[in-house]
Amino acid sequence: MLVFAAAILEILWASMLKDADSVMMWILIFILIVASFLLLIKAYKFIPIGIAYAVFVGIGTVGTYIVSITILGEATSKQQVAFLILLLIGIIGLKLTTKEERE
Amino acid sequence: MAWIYILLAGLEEVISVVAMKYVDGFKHKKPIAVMGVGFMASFYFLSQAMQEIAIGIAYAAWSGIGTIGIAIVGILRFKEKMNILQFIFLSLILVGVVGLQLAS
Repeated sequence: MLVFAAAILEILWASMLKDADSVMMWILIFILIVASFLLLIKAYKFIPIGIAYAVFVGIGTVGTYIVSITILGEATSKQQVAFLILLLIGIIGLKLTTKEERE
Repeated sequence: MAWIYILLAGLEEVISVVAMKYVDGFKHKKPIAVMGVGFMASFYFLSQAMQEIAIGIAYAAWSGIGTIGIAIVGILRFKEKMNILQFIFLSLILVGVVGLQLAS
């Protein structure tokens, strides 16, 4: 599913944004942003925009959060884990209940 | 004032994402322009709001407004059908995104 690929690129650039300190990094971030939006535009052809965008935002949030606790070593709380689980249920649920339309 | 910025940023986000729908394989130039300007305006307003409101809260409000707004436009403008299960799962994502930001 294209939305997943778009969201994974989003996680990459959002994580890099935190310690971007060179021109090369910024160029790479910009390329990743453009690529992730291109994939999202493609995904719109097959699934409703409301659902595509919610999944995109959801995966982006889960991913950047996981990166921040695993790689950047930020602290986590029970509350955050609970919301994370809700988010995952929502994403997986939408994936299962949404049929992709073929052109 | 900061909350007005967030509202503006959220609206710009909705406009941009809806414009993306019209880009349709890059056959049309106008939606691309609307999209580019919209995203820039959206990020600008968001950064302005973050001067006064904590980043987590500002981001939660912004993504919440955007997600709800886009779902509504999808249903009204593009006649997208959403069943009760999809509505529930979409709400879970919304609660998760906003809750996670506020809890951070």
